[in-house]
Formats: sequence, C-alpha cells, structure tokens
Amino acid sequence: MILGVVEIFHEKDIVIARQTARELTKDMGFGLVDQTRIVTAVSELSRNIFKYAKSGRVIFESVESGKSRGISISFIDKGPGIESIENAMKEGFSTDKGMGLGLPGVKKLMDYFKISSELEKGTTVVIIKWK
Amino acid sequence: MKKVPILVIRNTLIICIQNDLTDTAILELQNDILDKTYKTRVNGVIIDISSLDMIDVFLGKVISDTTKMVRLLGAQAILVGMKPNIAITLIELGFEMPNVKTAIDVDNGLKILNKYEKYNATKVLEVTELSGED
Repeated sequence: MILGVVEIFHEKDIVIARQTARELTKDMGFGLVDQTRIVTAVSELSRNIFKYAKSGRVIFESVESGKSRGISISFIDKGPGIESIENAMKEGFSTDKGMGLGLPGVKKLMDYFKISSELEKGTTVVIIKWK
Repeated sequence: MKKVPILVIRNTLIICIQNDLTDTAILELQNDILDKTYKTRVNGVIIDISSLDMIDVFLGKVISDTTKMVRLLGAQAILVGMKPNIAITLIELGFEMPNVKTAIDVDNGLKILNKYEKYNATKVLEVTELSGED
C-alpha cells in the first residue's frame, strides 16, 4: 500500500522527504533508532536524486511478509544513471567531493537494499526496513 | 529560510542547530559561525545538536569541518547533546567524527572550554553580577 509520495525538485524537497519518513515511521510504530536509520537513509538517497538527477520521486509503501510488517521506500529518477554500481557501492568511493559513505552506508542501515541503474536512463534504489 | 540564532555568552558562541534545515541553510550557518567567531574573538564555540533527530553524512561533514575551521581561527569548538539514536546511526554509517570534541550537554561543554582556556566562568559571573551588568 502506498503511504506517501514526495517529488524531488528543489533542495527543500529533501527536507520534506525526511519529514515524511519521520512521520510515517513513527505512525507505523518503528522504534526510535530504526526511525533515525530510516530518516537518515531517506535523506542520503533524496539528496542523491537532487544532486545527480536534479529531479525524481520518493515513494513510501507499507509491505508485509508473513507476520512481519515493514516500510519500503523507492527512489526513482531519470537522471544520468550510475556508470559503475560496483564502484558506487565501495566505501570511500565518490565521484565528487563527497565522502563516499552514501550508498554503502545506507545499505548498512537497512534490511534490504537494491539499486538498478542504466546510463542516461536513470537510477532506482529500493530500501526496506522490517519492524 | 530559517535562520539559526547564534548566542554570544561569556566569551563563547552557542549555536543550537534545528531540524529541517536545507543544505544551503546549513552551509550558511557554517559561514555565520566562522564569521561571528572571528568578529567576536570568542575562545569557544558550542554546537548544540540536542534538538536534532537525524544527522546524515552531509550535515555530519559540515559540523565536523566547522569544528576544524573554528580551531584554525584560534578557538575551540565542542559538539554537545548528541542523542543515542543518532550516535548509533552515525557509527553504522561509518561516520565517526574522530577529531571532534564532544560533551554531553551545553553545561559540560562550557566546563571543558573553561578547563581548556583556564578561564573560570563562575568568577566572571560573580564579577559581572557585582558590577550589576546582568
């Protein structure tokens, strides 16, 4: 079930994506540390959209598997795509002046992390955190 | 855009960073802190993050850079008030801020600064109270 959608166009939308993540995870009853992990991941990935693709969309969904409930968040853009996902997932690797902690760091915070990207077509990242 | 107030109290800048600042606002704040540190010639800068509920790599890097820049100006910066959930998330992210001085709250931050500067705030407090400036 879709819980919310945030369009990323402006810098301010990164803040809105964070606020949305905060409210939804609180409503779903995630513990404080998990809320923080999720909000932080949303901030990183929304910033990636704004920085590299200029615009995109963040979709928040509730997911279920057996008895467990969780939140799945998709980050979809039609930006330049990632040349080497392998490099992007390496800690310490960064194409700009960043610290290269972004993607591998987000992966560590989440239970599920999937990235797919095609050059000049865009990038999609899906993350899931189970309760 | 939100503007973060910077207090100047007894030779120390105190900045309380709020939630929901944009990246641009955070960079502006960094600039303001350095500007004010230089102009007011304070000995210490306390960055209070107790009202934050998240620090991502960008904000963490700006905070950590700011404390280094403050040191270059000749003052000491201390990060105070980090919540446990943020500490957990930062370490999991791999962002440890090893060279940043920290304290549990503003009060302890001031104590550390005082030790550092061999500057006793309570004595200054007494003097200013006697002279009726407060």
